Amino acid sequence: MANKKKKNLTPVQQEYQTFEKNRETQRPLIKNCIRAFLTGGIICFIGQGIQTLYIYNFNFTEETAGNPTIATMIFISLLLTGFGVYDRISQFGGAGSAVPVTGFGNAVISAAIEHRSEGFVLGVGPNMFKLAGSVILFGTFSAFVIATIKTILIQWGGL
Amino acid sequence: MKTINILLIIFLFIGLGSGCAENPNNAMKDNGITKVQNVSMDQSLSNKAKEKVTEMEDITEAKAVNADKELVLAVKIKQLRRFQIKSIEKKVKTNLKKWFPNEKIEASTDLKIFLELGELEDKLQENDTNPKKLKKELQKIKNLMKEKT
Repeated sequence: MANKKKKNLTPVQQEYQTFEKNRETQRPLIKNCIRAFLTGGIICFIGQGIQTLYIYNFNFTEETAGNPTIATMIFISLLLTGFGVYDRISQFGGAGSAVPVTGFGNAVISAAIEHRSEGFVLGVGPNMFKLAGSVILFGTFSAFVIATIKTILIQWGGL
Repeated sequence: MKTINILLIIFLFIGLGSGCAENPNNAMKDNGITKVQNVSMDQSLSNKAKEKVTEMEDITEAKAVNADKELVLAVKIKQLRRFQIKSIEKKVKTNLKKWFPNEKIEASTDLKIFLELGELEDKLQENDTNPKKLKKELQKIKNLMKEKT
């Protein structure tokens, strides 16, 4: 797509593009990766702490403690988004704060806050899952595909 | 910005420090097991099972309680071996079946089961329970093992 577009450009435009490319500020890729790694790691560390708390203090096994942990993490990210703290964390951590489940909570609640002025029925309700909707849809779909592959491998491959 | 960087480095060191510290509780026990002695409720079967299981590779600690011929056992495995947790659990189960063919044995690698069995072991050691209670508690742990999300 990008190459096709380039071919249609006039020589002057192409010249400008090379000119611009040389002066463009480089993205600090490694720095971003390290930041994302640390942010995501700290979020997961907190999540692991909460899960251990549930295992030690309530009647949850390692397997069943996952659900309340996710709910708690989403609730925490919801509060942090409301107070405007999560935005700063996201700005610092990038993908590290978007990939864990807290990023999902942030996407839901920030859309809800944004469309509050349009009313609950026509504003918050339909817009809440603007971004989260695609996460749910493709999450479910990819789970279906993976489950199909696994079933085929086990039934026919004898894995 | 600088404070954030410093905080991150501190977090990193705390994480590394706590991760590398050795568990002081291990030193008090013999090979990761405590041998429970109880007069009215014989625990020799679980003691034997614990001894045999901890001799296996990858297993660091084991807790087990038995009521008559019913045995429930939980193990802790080496942290880096947790990637193969399913196959190790399977191996433990098959080995237990081989060693004790006449007993009803359930095994788990779950932390919660491990904790609950540890509590029950302590109760047995202090003679703080009776056979009826023990059976009830074991049934509770078994139900917990069967729970699915």
